Amino acid sequence: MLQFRGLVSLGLFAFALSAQAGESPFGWIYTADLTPKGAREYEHKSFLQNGQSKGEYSYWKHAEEIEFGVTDNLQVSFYLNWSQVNASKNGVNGETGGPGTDLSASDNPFGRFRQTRVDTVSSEIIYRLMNPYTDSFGLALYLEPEIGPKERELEWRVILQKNYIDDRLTLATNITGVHEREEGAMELEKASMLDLTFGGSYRFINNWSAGLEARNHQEFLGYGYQSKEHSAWFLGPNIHYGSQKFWVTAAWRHQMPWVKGYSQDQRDEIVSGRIYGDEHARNEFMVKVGVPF
Amino acid sequence: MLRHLLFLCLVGLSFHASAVDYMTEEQAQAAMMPNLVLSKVAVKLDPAQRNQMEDRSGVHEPFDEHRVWKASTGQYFIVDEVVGKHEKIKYAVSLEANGAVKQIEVLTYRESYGSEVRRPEWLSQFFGKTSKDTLKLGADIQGISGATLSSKHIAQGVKRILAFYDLVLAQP
Repeated sequence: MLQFRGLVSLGLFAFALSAQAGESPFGWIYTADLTPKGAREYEHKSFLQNGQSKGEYSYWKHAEEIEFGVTDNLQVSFYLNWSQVNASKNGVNGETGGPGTDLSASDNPFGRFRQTRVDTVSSEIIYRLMNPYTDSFGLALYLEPEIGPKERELEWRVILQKNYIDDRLTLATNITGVHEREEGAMELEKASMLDLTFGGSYRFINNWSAGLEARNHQEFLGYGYQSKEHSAWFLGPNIHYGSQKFWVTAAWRHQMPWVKGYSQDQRDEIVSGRIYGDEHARNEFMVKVGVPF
Repeated sequence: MLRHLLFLCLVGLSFHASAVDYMTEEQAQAAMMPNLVLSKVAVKLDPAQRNQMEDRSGVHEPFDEHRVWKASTGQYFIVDEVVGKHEKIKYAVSLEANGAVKQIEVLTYRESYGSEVRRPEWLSQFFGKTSKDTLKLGADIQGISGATLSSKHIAQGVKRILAFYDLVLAQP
């Protein structure tokens, strides 16, 4: 509890410091629009996975970030990542589980699991090779190592962006790879994923943009991309408000009933074309707030 | 879940954006065309002229031809707006009688970064430019670090005004 209060205080303090590059009109897609040299920004992200095939399930992943523009083409960020999970009888077989849960052998598999914890710290480096405003398209490379008591993860991205109509319309795509090691109470998991995210956002009036974004997610066993476990699609809208002092982005992605499972274990987690298990929920929500200081 | 989302939105929206209006049109006229009597120019652009202005400048934002004034010396004063990162950037351009840029002032700028677009040393790059110049960022106009979008759009906006002069004001 004390830990949670401390995090809230840290977040509020950072807000009080008083938003914009690294600013993205998308919930999950990164753009090649970086924090300018010498500028700093505080950003809060709350990502919610909500609802599985049955029971109750919600998993909040929060991140508190400080972002720096080292040069106009190099942005560095530091994150504190924490989470809250609340699950009860949500598994396909009626047991409690899902992303963020970690039941030990002594826990009741049909009991409620509720936990708030600090998960990891991470650092993000983005280097821009082409500027979307002056080159024919934007191109940036991203690397994020993440480490915690039970988790280690390396994420990389290739970020592509193309603007149209006085830069009011932004089209962007990310190719994202993640390699993770997670130590649970009962098992050690090594997994990789390869995501293709793409979307568009249009600034329809001053300050306000809205659009759509899609995610094709592929999960693999181990640190490589040889043993595919499943493939899933997510699709949903985003809305963004940006001004001189701060910006806010909210987005929702719904898991489409187009999943493919490549092993019996994976197929056992599929209900009505959607996969749940230890990775996914029916809906994903994102809220991000950024404040330059 | 909803309570958490609402809390985050309220915290975010409690920060109010402050508009920065540096000059009114009247103040800009007085500063850029001192001691001159200006009269409004009655112009009605046709679709073909608008298309040509867009083709030459790359600016899609509609051009308001009702903000054009002429002095007895033959010089012009024109107010225009282009798209900024979050809001419109309003600026005024004065032209010599031969259509070359005399002076530029940014009247409204409401962005987190890049207020350097108001600096005389940046704006002075445009002085003397005509419709024959490209006004391209990185070529004959240098951009501003951290305000690439704003500096690109202002350069394109000035290019559009020069195209307007060429297509309309310079015509007999």
